Amino acid sequence: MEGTQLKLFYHFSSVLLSNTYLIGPEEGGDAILIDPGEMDVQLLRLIERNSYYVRAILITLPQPTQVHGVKTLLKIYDSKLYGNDDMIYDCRCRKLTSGSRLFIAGYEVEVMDLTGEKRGPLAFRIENLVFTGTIFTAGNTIRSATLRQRTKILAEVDAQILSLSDDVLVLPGAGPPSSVRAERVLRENE
Amino acid sequence: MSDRLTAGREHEGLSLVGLEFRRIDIRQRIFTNGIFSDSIFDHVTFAGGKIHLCYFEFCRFIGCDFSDTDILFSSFAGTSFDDCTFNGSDILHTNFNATTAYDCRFDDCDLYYSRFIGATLHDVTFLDCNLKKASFAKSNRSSVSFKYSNYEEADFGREWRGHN
Repeated sequence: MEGTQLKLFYHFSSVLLSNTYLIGPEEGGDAILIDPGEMDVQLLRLIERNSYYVRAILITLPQPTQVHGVKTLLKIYDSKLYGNDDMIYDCRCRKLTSGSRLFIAGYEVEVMDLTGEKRGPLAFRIENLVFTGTIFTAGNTIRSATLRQRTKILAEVDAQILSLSDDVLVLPGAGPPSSVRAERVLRENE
Repeated sequence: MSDRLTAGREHEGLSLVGLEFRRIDIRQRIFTNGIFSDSIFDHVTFAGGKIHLCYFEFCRFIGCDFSDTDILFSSFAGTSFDDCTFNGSDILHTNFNATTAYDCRFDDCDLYYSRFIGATLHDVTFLDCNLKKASFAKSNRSSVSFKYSNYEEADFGREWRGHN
């Protein structure tokens, strides 16, 4: 976190039990929000007190815990929405594909798909931060409907996330933060 | 190097990796967005401070005092704790996965949504704690007490058969 201009903030929705992340330059300016499950006074204060303008909103999965705050945010900020579909909550969204890299609000964003499913959940890598949504959380916790799906996601996590360098921080959509190194150690201990 | 921790009350964005800190008192300090991984903290007092969005992964804490400390959204994964006290602390959304803890006290703590997945806990007390949504799955526990704690929605893994 030192030596880079990128600053990371965390917001927890006690209603939806989900994590929202705000990233932007240290001195304020254009910022990116990831998974705004809830737009409340605390999140607005976090944005405004740090002199940010939300230029982009990244959605890992269009489910209420990750997108419920989008409509309110779009009334306040002229932001672009990025996710796995063309429309999210009647709002136009730029559909992202796995493996693509794009520049958003001055940052290079790498898009990852951990399920291989059409309109499946996405993960985003920005510098040494990986935002994994709710599909992969601290402790090698995988949210999946079936054992087969779990096996597939684990293989994708191994290939796309645990292959990253030790200093990459894992920031999930629910639960505490982690790192690639910590997740790899846990996997090896299983 | 310890003067970087003792100087000033608020520390934001510190990155002190692979260092040793012995017998220093940094109570009431506020640490945010810091990385302190692979370090040794020997008899360091963090009491009454704040630790927000910090990484203390793969560290070693010996005889450290975290009493009445506000720890939020931080990671201690892979760290070992020996004779450490967390009594009276709020430890929310914090990652203790793959930690080893011996002779530690987490009494009267709020551990909401914290995880101890794959941890080894020996002679550890969690007396009168809020363990709502906390996870102890796949942990190896011996002489661990959860007496008087609220473990509604807590996950003790498939092997859980009641109180330890």
